[in-house]
Amino acid sequence: MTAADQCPNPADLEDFLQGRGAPDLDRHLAACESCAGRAAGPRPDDAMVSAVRRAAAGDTPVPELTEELATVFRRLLPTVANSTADWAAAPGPGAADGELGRVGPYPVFEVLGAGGMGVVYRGFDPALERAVAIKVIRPALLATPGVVERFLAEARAAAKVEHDGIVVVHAVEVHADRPCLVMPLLKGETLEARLKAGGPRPPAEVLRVGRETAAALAAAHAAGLVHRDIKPGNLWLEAPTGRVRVLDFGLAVAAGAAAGFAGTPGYMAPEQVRGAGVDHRADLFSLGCVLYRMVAGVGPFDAETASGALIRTLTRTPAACPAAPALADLIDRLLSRSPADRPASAAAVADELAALEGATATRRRRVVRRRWLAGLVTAACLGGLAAWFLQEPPPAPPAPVEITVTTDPDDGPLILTGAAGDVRVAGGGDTAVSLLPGNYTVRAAVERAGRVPVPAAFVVQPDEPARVKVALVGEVAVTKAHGGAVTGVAVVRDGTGFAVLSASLDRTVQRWEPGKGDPRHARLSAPGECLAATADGAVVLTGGGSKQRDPLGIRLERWDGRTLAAVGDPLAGHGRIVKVLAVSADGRYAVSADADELFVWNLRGGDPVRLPTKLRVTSAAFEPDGHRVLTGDEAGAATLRDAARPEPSLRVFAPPGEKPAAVKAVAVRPDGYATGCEDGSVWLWDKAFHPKRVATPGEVLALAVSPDGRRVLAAGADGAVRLVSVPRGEVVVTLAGHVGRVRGVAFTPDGRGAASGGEDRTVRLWRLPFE
Amino acid sequence: MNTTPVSLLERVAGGADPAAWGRFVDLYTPLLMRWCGRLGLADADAADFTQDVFVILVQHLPEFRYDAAKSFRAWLKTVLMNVWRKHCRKAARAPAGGGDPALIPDTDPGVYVDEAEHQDFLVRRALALARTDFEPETWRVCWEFLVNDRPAADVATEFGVTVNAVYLAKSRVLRHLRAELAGLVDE
Repeated sequence: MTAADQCPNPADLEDFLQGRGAPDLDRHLAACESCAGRAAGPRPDDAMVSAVRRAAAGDTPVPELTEELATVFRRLLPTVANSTADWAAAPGPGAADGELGRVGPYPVFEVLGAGGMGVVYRGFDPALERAVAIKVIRPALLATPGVVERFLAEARAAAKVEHDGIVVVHAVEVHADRPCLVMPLLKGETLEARLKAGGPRPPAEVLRVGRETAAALAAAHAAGLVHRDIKPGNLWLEAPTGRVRVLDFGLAVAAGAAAGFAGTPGYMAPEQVRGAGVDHRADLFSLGCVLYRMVAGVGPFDAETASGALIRTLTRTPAACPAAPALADLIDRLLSRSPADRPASAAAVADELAALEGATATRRRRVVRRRWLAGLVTAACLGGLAAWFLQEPPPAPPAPVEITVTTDPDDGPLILTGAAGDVRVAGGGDTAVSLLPGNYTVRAAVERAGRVPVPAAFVVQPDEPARVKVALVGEVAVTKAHGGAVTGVAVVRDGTGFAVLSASLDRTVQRWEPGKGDPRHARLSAPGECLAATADGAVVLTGGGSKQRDPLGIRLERWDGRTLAAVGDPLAGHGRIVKVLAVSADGRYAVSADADELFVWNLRGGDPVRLPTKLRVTSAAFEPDGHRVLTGDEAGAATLRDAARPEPSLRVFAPPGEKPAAVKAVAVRPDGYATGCEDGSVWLWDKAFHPKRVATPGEVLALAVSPDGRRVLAAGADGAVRLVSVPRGEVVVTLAGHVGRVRGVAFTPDGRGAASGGEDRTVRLWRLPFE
Repeated sequence: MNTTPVSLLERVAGGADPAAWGRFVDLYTPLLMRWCGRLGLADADAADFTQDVFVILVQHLPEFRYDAAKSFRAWLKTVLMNVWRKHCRKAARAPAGGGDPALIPDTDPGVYVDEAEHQDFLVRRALALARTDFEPETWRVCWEFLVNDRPAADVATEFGVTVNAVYLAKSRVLRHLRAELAGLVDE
């Protein structure tokens, strides 16, 4: 193109001058005097230009909180840096048997753990002939230039700080372009593991862990280091004493460069969330979060998502911490949003916690206040005061309050811990005890793995006698007698007790009486995919089938739930694998479904009613009187039918929204219905079909309703069984233990227990909280 | 060299452009928080509400085909209504007109997305954000010429550039703003 390009026509020129979509004339207009002449003079504003003028005229400043929140919302877009996708840092090829591979000169034998930062191997140092732990940094973190150097610099600085509470680093090396830390192989567990297994910690442990962590931080801060990622996962409790060792100094910096921020949502200080300058006081905030979690069992800013936790950190004050008042006050100060309001140093925090430990150990009311002591030292110089203590006149003690503590018959004693120390309460029923008003935390006298007291804390109000019901919630028993995934579970009464029935892909139906010996089995003619039973166990049905399309295998089989003897002839008719089964409470009707058809059976006799289904039916349940049956389908709708006359349907209902998630489970409540969906929603419907949604993180595969209708169990694809309170509309307890999908769930007759079965081939019995 | 820059909305709808998403968030966060205030939400609830809106947007923007006939603002309003209904249900709070929260009509006075306010807010915000996208001199030249309405010749003399450069500065800033807001505001 020659320098004298054609001048544009007036319309194009006008568009270009006003920045509207026109051929790009930058270069032409930069030089052309003729166009410059034509461009001179006023021109009419369009909407955008007017808007710009108006905008420039006035400016409402944007609140700082809004800008901070924007930094959180930007992270909602999943990217490589903030994805926690698994990766395997395959070590180099192994030289000998039993080795996973080699990291540089170190053979490694197994993966001890993996996280967002990297992988930790158990390895061996051939030079010094000792076992070591080797941490290899995640490759994705290394993409940003300069990260490796910064990380190495931090790790070296940390290595120079000598303190019992900081994990010694033997070597910091680079192998195959990845930085590795070589550390002693520690025995014990992280505080995170301990919290996950056992729930809130006893007060003495909270104080000790806090003090030891603060002391380690004090040493690091004195050397000019800030950890930036203090959290339970980074606090190692070394066996056998549980002595704290702080892990991962320096790694937070590396992660920070990649993800744009350093730290863990829920433990990060507000200034860290903002991405502002961070000093040692950010570590104190994180320590406060750790202490809070140790006392309360949950973090102060816990939320369903990482960004939710960040938002809570910025906008919410945490709920009051159920700790003894002095500790609660310290935690409160540590969690101050403004760094200036936090304790000045980790050393001061360590001192304060040490003083609390001393006070708890001797169970003495605090009469010496440190601040007063400092004042007295100077006052003593004035002469006159010779005493080192000042006895506060003790306030009139509040009167003890009569509290009745109720526990389950098979639970042992509890320890209640308040400001005045520990009180032991016998288990096994109701115990009356006199308690001073205040906050109390609860723990079992003999800790049982997987059992957590609920509630874990309570408040005694002055002059208000009360009853506190404490259940030790968690797994009570488990049976691994099935050889294949458990696909359906039901609980049937057995005298004053109960038995758990389960169907499995291992072609058996099982009857298990927990605590009374091994389960019994009966053979099914095909892999079991579903099970339904009446509450008394008189009528039990199983269904299933296999891909071999054996017509004999696709019959519904009937059992006596008490003896597991087959009853009557199997029910034939289905042409494809049956995955849905329900029976009415009186045992008169049953409903079953395969991929093509819905069958309604009159169990007294006669042919079933067969309805071809355009949408696959995924679940079914009867109303208590057996007259109507509810089914759920993969399009997200629920359909109500009359069992005696199934066509036409009575009512179809679905949650609002354009594309509701597929219904995977349905249940009937005394006050309405419940549906569980693929997106994790549990919808609670009232009799007028108004829905209330309870969100859960895992796809809901099965539902059960408690006898009183106030609670619902949701079996999750993520392995969790969740207890939902209907009146509160939220999950109150999450029972973890299953590995993989939980396919069936049921309440025990008294509503205080739950049975579940899943793809890990186990059937588990759980204790639930008191209402 | 491109003729028409790809609009911000198209880049965000593409789904894999973190810088575009970040700019989109920066543009809309103040406006969403302002609407939350009008709905009577305190800061903590407003933050949760706004996050809920962004979570839906980040998932569903790829489905929103930029199309002159379909207004982004109307689509945004639908998202807001759904999130507002959900929040009312969760808080068991009745909407302004009373009645079942699930049935808040689209004409509920609480949630309105007035075009004029929407445009003004976005333009103001885009202007503030765009400042850092340009050389300081280009920005000042455009400002003097376009906003302060000084004659091009005067501005040219003050900054020691040609008149052409003054026209170019205005053209480029406006082009950038239009690209940023294309599809988001009605033109």
